[in-house]
Amino acid sequence: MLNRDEVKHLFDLARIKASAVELEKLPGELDSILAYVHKLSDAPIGDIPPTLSFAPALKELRRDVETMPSESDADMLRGSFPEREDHFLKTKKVFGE
Amino acid sequence: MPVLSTIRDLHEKIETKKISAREVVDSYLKTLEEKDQNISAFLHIFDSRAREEAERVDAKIAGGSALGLLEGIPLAVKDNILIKGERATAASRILAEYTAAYDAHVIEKLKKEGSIFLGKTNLDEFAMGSSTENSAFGPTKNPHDLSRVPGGSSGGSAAAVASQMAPGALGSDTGGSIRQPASFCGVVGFKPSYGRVSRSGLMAMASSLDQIGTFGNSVEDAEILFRAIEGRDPLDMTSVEVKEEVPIKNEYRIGVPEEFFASGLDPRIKTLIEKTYTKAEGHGFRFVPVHVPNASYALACYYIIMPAEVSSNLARFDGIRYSSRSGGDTLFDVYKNTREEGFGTEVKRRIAIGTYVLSHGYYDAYYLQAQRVRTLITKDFEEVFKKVDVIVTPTAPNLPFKFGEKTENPLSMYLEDVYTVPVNLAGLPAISIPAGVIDTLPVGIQFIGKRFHDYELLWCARQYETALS
Repeated sequence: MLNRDEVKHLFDLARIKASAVELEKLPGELDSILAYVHKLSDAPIGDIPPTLSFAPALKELRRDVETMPSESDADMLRGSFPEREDHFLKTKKVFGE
Repeated sequence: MPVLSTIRDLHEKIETKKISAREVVDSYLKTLEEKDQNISAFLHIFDSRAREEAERVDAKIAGGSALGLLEGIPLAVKDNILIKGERATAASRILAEYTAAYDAHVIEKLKKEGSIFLGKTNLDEFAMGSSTENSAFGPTKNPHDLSRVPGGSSGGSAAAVASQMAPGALGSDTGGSIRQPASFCGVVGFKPSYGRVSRSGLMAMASSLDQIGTFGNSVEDAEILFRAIEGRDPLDMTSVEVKEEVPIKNEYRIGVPEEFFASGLDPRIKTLIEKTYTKAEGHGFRFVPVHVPNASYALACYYIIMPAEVSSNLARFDGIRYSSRSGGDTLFDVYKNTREEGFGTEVKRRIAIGTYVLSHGYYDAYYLQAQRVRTLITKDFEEVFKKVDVIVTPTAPNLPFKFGEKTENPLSMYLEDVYTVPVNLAGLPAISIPAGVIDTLPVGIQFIGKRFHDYELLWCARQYETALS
């Protein structure tokens, strides 16, 4: 049975701040889902390999040519920045205090 | 002026000037305005843009040029597919203010065909759900009964086509999100083979399962849209170019897998579907009992692989680039607060499951095990397709349900996908077509085809549709 601390840890790993309501409700919900999917442990897999993807074998790679968006396209991309300074995306400090 | 619903019909009328492209768009926008206040299929409507594009098409006709089949045809697009310069929210608060900076590949292709986009349709948040109740902007209602869900996650697109707000629409399908709402709304919904349509510009949910597909009021309309959007795209390395020849046969063998008609299926749906077999036999179909022995593991397999991929794909929504950002003292606080405030409950639930099954100590028992079961299920289908041309199943285990009926128990909602997820796990094409009604509520029948035999599947579906009409 998952407990509050374990669910909080999962949310920390996923970079989500869990609310008190979620920490109350989720352990039971996640438990019942995980109990259901656990039925796969009975599946007769033998030594069958996993299917990781249906991607076709790579036959060609994209040419290593630099492409730049137009200024208007670049502006459109920058339009999504929650905070910006001129052409730069502004964020909290990544390293240090 | 009544709006006729098939694409081919509209094309013929526009090209022969019986109706102008502008009149067609005006008519659909008027229907939209009248009906969508009650149905809420659309999140954004492009009325001025659609009218301008219609006028361009009319000018082209006036100049004497011939029209492509989709030129001037208005379409609805699920709001997890990017149209440059337009809002793309995935029905999530975290993208409420986000504007797409580029066109999805399918949109580029439809623009080249001259299609007109009426607007973006509602969905379960980030395509996670089977009822469209998980939209952060309110649910869409089933046009056949406004107290019931339209299905999901492409509920808006299905409802738009069902209520004649658009003659065709795009959706996406990861575990049934086109087919199940098509069944619930009484329209045709087609999911192509994995790799047949580019996923570039589709907001990724589970990258090994997602596929863009089409809605229409007929199999032909769904096929016309598919033909326009399929093909290899250098920006999606999982997309392939397929040269398919549809064999002309006197008889098509339809496999009937007993595992898909067992307990859990509403017996009225089972009876309705089985009654269609007699009509179909008169149209060159022969029904063959088959087995998909590992089908019972498919839902569990899906609900491990999909959340795992979701947890990875949604990591990008961290408050840094995509318009929405919450406060916080540190960078980590910004991530955690943005995602807490921006994501809905179901999204967080699936991210949590995905994080769990990928974590150290659980990866082998859950994720790797699921990938091996995926191979089992894929091989089951390969064996079946040695004996039959297509497989028939119900699309959904029950009729469209009432709002709130399944929201308290996540597992009861997940069980909606029981007949549709095996298809995505094996990368196969599948289509839901209307099979009839029970208590005025639509019931869909699903056909599953061999991988990359999409046109063969569509041909069979058209014959079956004719048999039922």
